[in-house]
Amino acid sequence: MNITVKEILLSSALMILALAAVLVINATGQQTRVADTDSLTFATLPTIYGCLLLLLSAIFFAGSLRRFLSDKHRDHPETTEDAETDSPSSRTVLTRIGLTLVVLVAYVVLLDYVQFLVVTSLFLFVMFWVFGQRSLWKMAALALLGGACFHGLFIYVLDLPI
Amino acid sequence: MFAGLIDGFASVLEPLNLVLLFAGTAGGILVGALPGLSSPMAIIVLLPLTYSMDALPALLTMIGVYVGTKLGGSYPAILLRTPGTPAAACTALDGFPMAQRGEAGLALGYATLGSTFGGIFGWVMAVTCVPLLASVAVKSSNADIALIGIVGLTLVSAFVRASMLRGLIGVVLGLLIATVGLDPIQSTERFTFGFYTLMEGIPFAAALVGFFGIAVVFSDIKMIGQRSSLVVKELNLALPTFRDLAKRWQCIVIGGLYGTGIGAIPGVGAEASTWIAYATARNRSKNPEAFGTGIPEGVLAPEATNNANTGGTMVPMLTLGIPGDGSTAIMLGAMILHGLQPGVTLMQSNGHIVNAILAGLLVATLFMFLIGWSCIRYFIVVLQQDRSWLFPFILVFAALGAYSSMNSFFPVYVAIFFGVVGFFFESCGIPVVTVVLGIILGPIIEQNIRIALALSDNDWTTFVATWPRQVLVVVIVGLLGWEMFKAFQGRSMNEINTKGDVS
Repeated sequence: MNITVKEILLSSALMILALAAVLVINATGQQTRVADTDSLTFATLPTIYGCLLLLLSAIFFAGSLRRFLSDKHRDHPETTEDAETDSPSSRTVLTRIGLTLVVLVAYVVLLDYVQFLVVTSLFLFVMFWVFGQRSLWKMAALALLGGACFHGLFIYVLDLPI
Repeated sequence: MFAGLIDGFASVLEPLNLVLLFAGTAGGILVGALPGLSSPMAIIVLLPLTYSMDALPALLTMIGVYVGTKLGGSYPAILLRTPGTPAAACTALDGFPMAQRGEAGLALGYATLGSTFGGIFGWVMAVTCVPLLASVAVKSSNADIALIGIVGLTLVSAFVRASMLRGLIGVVLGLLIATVGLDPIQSTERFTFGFYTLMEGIPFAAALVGFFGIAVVFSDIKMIGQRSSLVVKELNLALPTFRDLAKRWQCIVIGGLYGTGIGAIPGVGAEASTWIAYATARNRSKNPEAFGTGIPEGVLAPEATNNANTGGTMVPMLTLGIPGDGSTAIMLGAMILHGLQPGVTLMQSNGHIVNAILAGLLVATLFMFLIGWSCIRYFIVVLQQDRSWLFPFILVFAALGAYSSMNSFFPVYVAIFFGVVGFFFESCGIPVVTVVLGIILGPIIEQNIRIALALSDNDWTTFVATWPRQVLVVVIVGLLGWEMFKAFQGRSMNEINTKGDVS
């Protein structure tokens, strides 16, 4: 994805977040005061931060949009910061990132239901596969060893209640 | 001052602390040697392991990692032309050509000695400045502390590697995130949406794990599978003779001064200081054209700067509670998690911890030299390993680290969320260290502003009532104004060039 498109999306998300923050904090019905007769209330600084974030994000958005439009007019080829000649393709990288996120969330969910050693070893095995390893024996051995080490460290030594 | 420092050494030389410091330093060199891994990531992975420790052993382990990564980053820079840490990028300019000429061992020797002497220089400066600054800082009032916090955030925004706009966005977002939870004065809920888990605010450790652990793994996934042909035969360190080193004393002094001075400025980090020191050493050299062709001076200066930085970052961290870089930001978080209150009163309330940290810095530097000198061939083996074996372990450490901060799964989801946010931020050029600093300093600033106003009967002029406060306000306004002026000037030049007007 073009970096300016990423910036446009990010700045839009930040503007929405900032607006939501300003509206939600005020939705409690209490007054925000920046007066010299009353002290700051609980909502004053969050409102100021929200407004600042809205302003800064809007400037960021405007700058990114201007760059995007001027690049388009000059017919610049799309540049991605991930383009390297000897690295995995962007599609592979994005797929790996997406799968990593999904597997990580699944790991956390399963920790509550499945025994720690089992789910951790499984997680390691799956992640080795996601990251491109294909030697099943090596993956299985490392996954079991890693799971055992984590189990020993966090359950027995650190006594983590998991 | 010396009595306190001697007590600090006595604490550090206890067997457990010594072992942890040694292990941390060795681990730090290992992590630094792996391109893509960083000191903040290594420290954040360590964080859950330190929950059961006392504060001092935990912090000493982190100090060891912090110091070790500075040297470790030079190994791939010299051997692969790929810096292990961003701060070691400069070392590759002369280190790699030396390695290509068959002088890899000598280049590594210069890097090791440069790091050691730079680290000692930085330590001397830290030991001198910390007690002095702490004695001034403890006299600060609430208004002073609030302004110092704002100055810290402004400095970060102004000097961070991205534009000031991006820096400010990160800082303000961090400040906003820090308001989640109960208001510090009135205990009113803010942004909790009825969830009691949010009443204590966003779990700080989880945010750190997300930003410096999970986000970095996401960013470095593109490096999986990349390998370079590197030195296969055994490699030994070749220390230069004392005479050869003494001839190049200026490089060490330049590196030490820049590393300490720039390291003390929050947010700048070691990267900028190494380049500035390199350029200065080159400009002062009788043969500036030789820089970049593989000369020892080109390795000595940046490596000395790199490790002198560790002393520089300690000064604002221990005296003002303002971290100098990402690693010290996590160490500050670790202090809070272990019940210490960083800030202007740290020296007063926990002076023995401060002195022990300073003592640990020197001992870690000496350990770094010994380990680097004797074990370098083992660290080189690490460079050959694919990250696909390493990243899953880091993710497990990150998940469990977040879990152990509250013994619940909520912080883990928070860490994953901030991992995604951090990944997008870094890919758009917004450094996550700005967000982290906003999260750390936000509550301090808000609490002190509101107390200062309450004590002055809501008189806002209290923030310019004394000359130190006026200076701080001038610094804030001046920095913001200067950056806006530079941005405007840069844009005007671009418009002139675009329109083809030449004056």
